[in-house]
Amino acid sequence: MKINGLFSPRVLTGSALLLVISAYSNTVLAQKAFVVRDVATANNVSLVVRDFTKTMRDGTPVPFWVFCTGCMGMNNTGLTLPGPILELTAGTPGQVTLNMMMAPQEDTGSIASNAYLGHTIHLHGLDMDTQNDGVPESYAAQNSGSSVTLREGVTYMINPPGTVRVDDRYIGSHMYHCHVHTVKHLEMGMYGMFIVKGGGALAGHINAAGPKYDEEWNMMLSTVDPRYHTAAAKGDSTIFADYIPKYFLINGEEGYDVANPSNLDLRHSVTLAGQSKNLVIRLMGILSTQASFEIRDANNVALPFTLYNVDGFALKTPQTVTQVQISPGQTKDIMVTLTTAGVFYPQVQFSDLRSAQPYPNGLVKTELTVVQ
Amino acid sequence: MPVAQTSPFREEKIVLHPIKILLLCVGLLGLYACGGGSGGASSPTPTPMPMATPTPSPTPTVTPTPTVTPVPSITPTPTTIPVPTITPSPGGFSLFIKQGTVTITASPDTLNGAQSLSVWGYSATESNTGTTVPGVLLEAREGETITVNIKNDLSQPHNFSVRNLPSTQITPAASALIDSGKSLTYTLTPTTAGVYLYEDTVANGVNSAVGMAGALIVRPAQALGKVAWPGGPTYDKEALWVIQDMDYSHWNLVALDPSQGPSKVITASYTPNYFLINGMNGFQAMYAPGTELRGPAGTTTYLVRIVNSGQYAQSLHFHGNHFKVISRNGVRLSEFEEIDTLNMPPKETAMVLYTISQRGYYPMHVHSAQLETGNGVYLNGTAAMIVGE
Repeated sequence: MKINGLFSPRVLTGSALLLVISAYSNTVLAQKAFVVRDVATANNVSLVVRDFTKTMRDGTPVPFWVFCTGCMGMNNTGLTLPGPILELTAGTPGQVTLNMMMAPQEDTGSIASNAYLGHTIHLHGLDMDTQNDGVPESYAAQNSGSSVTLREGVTYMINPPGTVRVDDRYIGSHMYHCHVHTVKHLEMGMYGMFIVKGGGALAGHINAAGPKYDEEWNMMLSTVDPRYHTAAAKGDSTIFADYIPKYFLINGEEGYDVANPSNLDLRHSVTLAGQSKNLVIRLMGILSTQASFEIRDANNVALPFTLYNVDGFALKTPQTVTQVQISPGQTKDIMVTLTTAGVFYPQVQFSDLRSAQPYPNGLVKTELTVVQ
Repeated sequence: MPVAQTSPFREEKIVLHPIKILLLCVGLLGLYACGGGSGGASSPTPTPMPMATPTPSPTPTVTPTPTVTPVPSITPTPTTIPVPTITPSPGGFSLFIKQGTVTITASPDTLNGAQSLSVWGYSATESNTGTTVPGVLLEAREGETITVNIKNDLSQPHNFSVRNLPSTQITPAASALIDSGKSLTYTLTPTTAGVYLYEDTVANGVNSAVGMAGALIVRPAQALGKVAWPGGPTYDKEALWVIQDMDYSHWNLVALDPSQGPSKVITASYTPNYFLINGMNGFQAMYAPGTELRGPAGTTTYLVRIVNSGQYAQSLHFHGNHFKVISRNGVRLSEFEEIDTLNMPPKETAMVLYTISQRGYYPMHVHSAQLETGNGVYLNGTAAMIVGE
């Protein structure tokens, strides 16, 4: 299998090497059509807060709180970790409404003011004004101590009438998450991806000055300390004074596992059909550790790709690298140009905050299959 | 290898207790009665829900109890800020290595978290008053010489080292020890404007970790005005953030115990539980002069100098606007990328330009788990506030 140039940042055309397509790859292709995560437009969306218990690969049940759409009552559709992907076209208005009617709440017990009840939606990276930022503390400072932002039915307005802040500069990946007692609520899973896309002539471009892409793959990186998910972890607790991650996740999953076909978010396939394809991979860090992203080939060689966006803004000069770091709260958008068939392994190594030492079980792999 | 198509949620157990369904029904009725439940509404103005009528919550999952946060007033500040001057005491800076206290204040929301921390630091006074963490702010201008006289009032030897400052620009070298009860005078002639970390590097970094660290700011010549460096970007106001993590129980209490000392700290293990910015906890630091960013929206650009003197990487997320990173570890960047989250690895420095672009209150906070807390008390970790007037 030839790999040189396979991930060239240049758009390559012409002949690609032939590869025998395995039955396995055909299976991947068939699964591509399988919808594994809701994508909702943020022009007018309502996010419901629900709880559910996820059984980790080692059999441990871990409670989570998540955002979802269409999951009221007994309807569990879209009940996933992370929540649905929200998309908005740059320059257009958006409304995101919080529905807490089924929301789990933090039992704060004896906490004097029950300070950590309620939820909000913070549109991380969109530089929202205070009224729409979803931060209880700064909202109260702006509004004479009001806690209205914590109430049921709050609507967060993006580019409200007469204003356009989220314009073409914001084309790229961002996030949304609850901003109440975030040490608890983020850990519980109250987050999702927010992607601003270009409209008109910029539709399908990685940013306002960047190239078009043919395929997209979104990866949300997170970590789990199960102690934070227990009933004892509430209010101000010394449990929150330390963080011991046990599970390392991409899109809520612990890594591609051929024995566990449920983690379809961790596989992607691209069909070249005789031409090169640009694949954008959006990396969003809602983790509490450090992480690095690479794409390895079958020989475990790190392949080059191009970094275009950081925190949803375009780099002035795209950088061709073989590794990018993703820190808590960061997003990075990279692009690879696929020219020949093969199986590759985009992967994330989670490491600690002190000396960037890799966690022993902190390597999470995904699988990218390129077919002719 | 064939793989069957199955539900992606196969391994997840959906939990919906019957009692929750009942509570939901009650909650829905209650919300309807109080005018709530406007989910999905397309109101052109945000958050129209009045809060003056406290409505009994039908279930604890619907209407949270209001949180009351102290409300600072917005006070207009002068739009013309003079170029900072440097006024070291005659004969240079005088520092005293001594034991001190960092006072962690309680969360105003929960009243939890008040604590006094024993630390070592480079203080401006020899008495029991004054700040010890971070150490005295040292300032110099490019090419000019300053002297720093340091007296060691502790019982162990210590030293003084400035990271990334060429060895030709400081004497004596870091290998020189300041013995207990003795003094040593350092001469610094820094030639490159920027921000530097100084610290005690004795005892495998334990001394620095328990508080012995501070910042050196090197400014361009006074005549150049408010520029980050000669020919560099301009700014209106400036702030310095020295961030620091502490494993209080396992490092400070051991190192400062006369019967144990720094050599008894098990350095392989480090579980910090306090996270300071300019020697303060989050609620204390938010509106503190020199830490808070405040100014007229649209016309105020801050130069924020950041020093991470701790051992943990801290990922600083700014609300309200993206900002430009102009230097890292003294390296002036050729392109100022715009980001909203700055990762600060241990012992590194950075300078950023943040323009206050809109009115209102916007936090800057660290974006990782326990670093948001002070020993588990929320928002008492690394945080500051940005106020657009």
